Amino acid sequence: MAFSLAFLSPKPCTRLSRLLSAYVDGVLPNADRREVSVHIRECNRCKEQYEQLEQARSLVKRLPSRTPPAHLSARLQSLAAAESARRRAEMGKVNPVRFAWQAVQVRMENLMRPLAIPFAGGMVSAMVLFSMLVPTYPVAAARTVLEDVPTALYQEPTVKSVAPFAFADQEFLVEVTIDDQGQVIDYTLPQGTESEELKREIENTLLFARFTPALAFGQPTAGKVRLSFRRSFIDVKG
Amino acid sequence: MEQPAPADPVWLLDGLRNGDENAFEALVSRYQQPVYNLVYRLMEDPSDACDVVQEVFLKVFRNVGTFRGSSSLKTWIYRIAVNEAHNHRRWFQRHRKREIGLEAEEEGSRCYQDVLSDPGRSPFDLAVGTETRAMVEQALTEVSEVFRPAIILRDMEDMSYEEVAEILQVSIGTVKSRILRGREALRRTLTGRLEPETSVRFKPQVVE
Repeated sequence: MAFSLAFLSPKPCTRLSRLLSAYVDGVLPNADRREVSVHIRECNRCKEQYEQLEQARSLVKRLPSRTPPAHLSARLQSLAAAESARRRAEMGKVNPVRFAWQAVQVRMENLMRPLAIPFAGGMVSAMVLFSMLVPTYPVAAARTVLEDVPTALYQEPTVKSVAPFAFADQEFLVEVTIDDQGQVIDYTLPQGTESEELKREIENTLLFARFTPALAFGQPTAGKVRLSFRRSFIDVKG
Repeated sequence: MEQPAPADPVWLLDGLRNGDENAFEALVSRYQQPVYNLVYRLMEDPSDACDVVQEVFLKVFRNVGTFRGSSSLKTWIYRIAVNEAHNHRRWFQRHRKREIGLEAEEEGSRCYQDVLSDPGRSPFDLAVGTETRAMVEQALTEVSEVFRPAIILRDMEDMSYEEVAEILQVSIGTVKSRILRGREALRRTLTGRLEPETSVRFKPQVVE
């Protein structure tokens, strides 16, 4: 038996000796612990090692804890006092801001509270008055609506009336330029003519004709209108 | 360890956030001993421990507003302590500042001697000789600085593996391996020095 143990010992020893420290601390899982405790009963070398480890551990464990010297304790106590005061002061720094904000809030409230009822009362009475007065205003707007013109468009100038003069028998076109007052500025005959007679007739006609000026965006402006004269009636083209 | 009844953590945290002086003082009196002990054991030169501890508490006080409570206050403070000690050690290695300053006199009423003359000695002090204890402490300082925090947190501060993992910001597996290797190193150092006549027994195995 001794022979077989000596033969086997190197193998488990190297493995188990690594577990001895944890065994000493009692933190090995059950299976390992049992194996180690069986082994150190049988193997002197490991047993010795275990005992030495245990001894080393208990020697260190029972070393007296170093007591800090008196001057260090005193210094630490004064450090504690100073640092706690510093911390309090640091926290105090936050408070003034909050305090100032609260003061502002209180002042605003004091300022506003006397105003609140008059303000609300004034507001309500203004609304009542307004809602009472509005219906008494006749809707002046309604009348103007009828004469309204689209403002954003260009309105051609138009003929209001033409003098009832007779013309020569032929038919012809006149292009009349009208200023923003509704006055004739100029005219052209796109078909052209040589006849002085005709020109005079046209000028006479235009002299007594009345025009509405062109409108651009609601404002009167200059514009052109084309008149076509015929023998018996006048045709107006835009 | 032998701290007075722990203050209600919620009250403590609230007080710290609101700048309650009582809470600040309660924090100091509750944690100064373990933090000092931890920092002391982690430093190469323990006379710097006082400065570092002060830094730790300053950081705790200044940053408690940003502490979210995802970890416990205890592990948070220990984490700051471990980091501070680590940073200080690195800084110190870069600027080899060891001149004997005036500070050294005042500082180094040597925290060390203060403790040796500490009247409140544990039963262990009485049972085991002072030289044994000094030897253990010496052995502890020889453990690599990677493993030492894990050992101290686990064995001296009695933390669970999970807490150690949280403080050191590593996985539990890493904690396990660090404790294993640190303790192994400690064992080897101690076995060589501690009562060699009993520990190191080369007993020939006789095949019967």
